[in-house]
Amino acid sequence: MLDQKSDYTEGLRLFYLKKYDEALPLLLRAAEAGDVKSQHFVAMLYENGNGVARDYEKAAYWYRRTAESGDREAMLTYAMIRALGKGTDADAADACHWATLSLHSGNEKARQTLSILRAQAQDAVRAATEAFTAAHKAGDAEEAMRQLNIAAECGSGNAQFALFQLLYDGQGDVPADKVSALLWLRDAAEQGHAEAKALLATCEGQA
Amino acid sequence: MIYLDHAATTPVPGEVADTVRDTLVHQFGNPSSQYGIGREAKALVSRCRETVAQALGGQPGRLVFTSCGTESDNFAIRLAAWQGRHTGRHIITTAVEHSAVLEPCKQLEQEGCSVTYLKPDKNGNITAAQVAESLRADTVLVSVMLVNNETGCVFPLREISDVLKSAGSKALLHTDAVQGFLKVPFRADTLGADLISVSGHKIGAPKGVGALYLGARVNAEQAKKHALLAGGGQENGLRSGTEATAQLAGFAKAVELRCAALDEALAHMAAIKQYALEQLLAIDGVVRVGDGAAPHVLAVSLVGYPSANIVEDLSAQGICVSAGSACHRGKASHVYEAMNLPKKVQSGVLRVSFGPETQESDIDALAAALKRHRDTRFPML
Repeated sequence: MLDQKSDYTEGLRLFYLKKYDEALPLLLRAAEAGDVKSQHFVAMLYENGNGVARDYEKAAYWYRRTAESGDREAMLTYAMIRALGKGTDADAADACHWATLSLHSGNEKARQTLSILRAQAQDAVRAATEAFTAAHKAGDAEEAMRQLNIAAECGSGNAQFALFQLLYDGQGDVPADKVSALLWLRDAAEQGHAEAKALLATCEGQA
Repeated sequence: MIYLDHAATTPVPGEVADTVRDTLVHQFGNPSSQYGIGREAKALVSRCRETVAQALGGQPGRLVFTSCGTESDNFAIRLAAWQGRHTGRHIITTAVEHSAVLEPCKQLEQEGCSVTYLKPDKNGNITAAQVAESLRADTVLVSVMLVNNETGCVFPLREISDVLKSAGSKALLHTDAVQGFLKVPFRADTLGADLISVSGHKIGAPKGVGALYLGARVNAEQAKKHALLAGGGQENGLRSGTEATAQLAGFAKAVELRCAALDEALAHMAAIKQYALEQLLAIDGVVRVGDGAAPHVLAVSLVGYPSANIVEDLSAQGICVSAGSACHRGKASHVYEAMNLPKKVQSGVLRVSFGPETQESDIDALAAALKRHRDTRFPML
């Protein structure tokens, strides 16, 4: 842990001195040891080609590692990478997934980006809706839930409202999660879902 | 607007509204006043009583006007429990009654009565045999609705009355006939019920008026000692308070209009119900709930799709239907719970109810909107 921290501190010092080629090995070592901040800088170095040949694939890899650790800024960055297909396949649904996570983690900056990403993800909504229907008919609740989440993340107001209802009290094997439920309610309202708008207005009126 | 919730309330025909207005403006006298417009008002009330009693198939002198079906039910139940107080404190009713019956029964339980709640079968039906099995020497009241407001099931009042007679029971038989009046033909003098509750606004009258019919076994003189409202002695001393003449006039006019074309209206509603059944059951995922025979009520379920969402969605398109009963909005229906329906069926129940004005095109619009809902919304997991 101490090495990891000192590698990060020294690596950061060198980074700000623009000695990128000296900073990279230290930050990389700390990143590989799991230091999230170092992961973020390594991703930037690969993305910008500082101190190393530009490598979008490696940048994407490190942005993903950072996002997975719960860094809401990295989630948004990785969402853009997935949308643009920089160093990875372009994937509108995954882009929406990470941008939604970022927004739901409290990153208000993600809201505008997400609205743009969702506007481009209508095919993904259709595919997820069809997959949901098939899974639901087959009685595969787990897969149905996964597809419902994809449809919601990609901007289906109906899916968002369904998730709100499902999570608010819990259903079957899905436990109640009122915080997530209300985030989906807000999303649905912003998508223009009439019932969500009315319900949210009522909730806010009572607050 | 497409209105398919006639079991909740009904549109008021222009002639009825005109009658109400005319009464308010030109016949505003107090029926208890001795001068001209008072006497006119008294005569008006008398005519209204005759009209409604005639439609009920009973005697005008046995009809008490009330403010609504709920008041009639409450009064009937309290009255029967009081009349039978020296016989016992046992009541039989069904688990699928309107809350206007269930709640006063619960109150009486709090006061020491015991109540047997008969459970319906999976189609929503109650049998006379169930009443026979539950009947006790200390039973003082059997309260069974004529038509269930959520399923349209018609309950066998005549047979239940026969059960009571053959058992020599002193229990009074009450029926909440709010959904049956002028929908399922019956006559008060042959139905076998001792107390019959009806409401005006279910048949085109304004809200705020109902009636309770008291059969021959109800001791009206004794009942005065347990009047619903004590005061000036109106309604034969059973419900004091200045008569709501305009509502009564509207009630009588609505009854007249319904009776004038009753056979045609009933045949039309039955045909519409059959058409709705065919159109709605043709939608994948829609099932029928109960096998109600009343011509104006049809319960279906879009299985797994919360009915509150459906009602909101349809409402946004100008289509009015009810998620179960409009009287307990937001709560799970005790009727469908009592029928032991699977949870996903219960969650999606819609009550569609018809009137003489309902057209096939209304049903087509409902079917299309319901299909659209199914195709765009996500069901419960």
